[in-house]
Amino acid sequence: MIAKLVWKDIRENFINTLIFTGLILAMTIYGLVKNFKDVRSLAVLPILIVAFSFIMVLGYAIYRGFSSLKREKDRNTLEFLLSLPVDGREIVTSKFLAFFTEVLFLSLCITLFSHIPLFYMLITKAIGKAEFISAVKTITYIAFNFFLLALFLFIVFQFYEILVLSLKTKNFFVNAILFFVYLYLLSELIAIFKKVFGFLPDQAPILHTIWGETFTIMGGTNYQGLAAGALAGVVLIVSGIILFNKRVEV
Amino acid sequence: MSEVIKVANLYKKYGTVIALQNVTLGIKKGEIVGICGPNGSGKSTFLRILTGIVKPTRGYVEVLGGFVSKKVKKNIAYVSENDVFYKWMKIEELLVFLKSFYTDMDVERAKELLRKEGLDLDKKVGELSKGNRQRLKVIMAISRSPEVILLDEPFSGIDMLSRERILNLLKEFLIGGERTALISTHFVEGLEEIFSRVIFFKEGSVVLDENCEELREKYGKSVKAMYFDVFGGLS
Repeated sequence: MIAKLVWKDIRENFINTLIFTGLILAMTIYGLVKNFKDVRSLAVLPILIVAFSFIMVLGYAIYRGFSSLKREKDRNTLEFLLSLPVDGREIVTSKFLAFFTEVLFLSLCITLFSHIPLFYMLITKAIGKAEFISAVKTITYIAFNFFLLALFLFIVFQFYEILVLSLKTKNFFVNAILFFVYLYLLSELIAIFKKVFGFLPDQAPILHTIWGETFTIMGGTNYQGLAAGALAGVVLIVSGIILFNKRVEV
Repeated sequence: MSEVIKVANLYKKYGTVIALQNVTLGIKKGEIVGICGPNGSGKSTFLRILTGIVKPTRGYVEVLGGFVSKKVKKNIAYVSENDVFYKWMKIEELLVFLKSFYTDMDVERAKELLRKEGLDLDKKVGELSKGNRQRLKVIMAISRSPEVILLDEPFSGIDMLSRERILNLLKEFLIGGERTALISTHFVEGLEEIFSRVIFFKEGSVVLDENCEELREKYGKSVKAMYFDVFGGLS
């Protein structure tokens, strides 16, 4: 039954995903055409594609997290969902899985498209094989970082949405205060989880690029932070399901 | 006959508004119950609690021998007064979608009913008129074999012709069957003949709960006349 709900969500947001893919492809082609003659400047293009594309994806993650259940409520379809023989676990999990599938598809497209300039540089012998492999690793690594961040943002905002739906607060200022209190408490929770994972290395995973630069995961987040983020994500999903089952109604 | 729905001391509050208070009743298997009352009397809230869409503030609710769980919901068909179906879905897609949740969904019967009612399977839900959307909801519910069917204002905001067609569909489905049905409405006319019992709600409380035959014998009045007596207006 989860699969059917996931399919429904993917089908509903299919156009958004297609528009995003089209935009990313258009950006890649534009960058290629613009820098076609200056092969060396193409080296920056993959990073630009990844960065700009994922800024959009992160914005989309926030929007989807905020609106996936609210939209159902506003269109009365939440009533339909709640009348089906499913529970909060299936509804909340299906929303996450649908977003996961979409963002995975988008991340793969971004990674793939950002490789086009690299392939061109390899063919024209602007870079060697070793440099190419190193660049591919870096791009994939950065894309993976953004992918994780998008998932985390979705979970954070979806939980806030469930919180608002269950508290039934309609006042904008009350919701705004609630949002900041929630973010503060979440950051405190992650800090506690970081201590729990204190046995993990206190350093960020580092990868060297073809330009001699180093990249660290999510701006220097260490292994403890990554584990804490993952645990916080799980806690938010489970708490969201419990809250949904206990409090969300039409 | 055994009771398929039992509620006791049911109470529901939305903020400061009391939607239901102290509702205690039992519905026996095979009863076709009219839930009547003016707007805001608590009819919809009552049905929504039985479907599990709304949680009671306090009180006891038992449907088909248990609390409203996933298993119980499989044996309940609910027709909402709102446009609850996804407007972007084609009718055929909706049928497949529902089939995956309800094993008792008879797709062939649904297709036959849809054809009979002139509803094109390739049309999107959002492209249908209000009357057709209402008929679609009823068809989707009666294409199953649920033990309990809950209909919330199935005739609200539709023209006479659509009303008549929905009424005929319901009569065909309910009369002579073993199913338990609760129909919330403020249009009593035409439904009297299928109701075996009526429950009147007023300001969240049950003000009348009578078997239709007994109602006629006891008061010498039809459900419609009784409705006007209780809620005021022309009688």
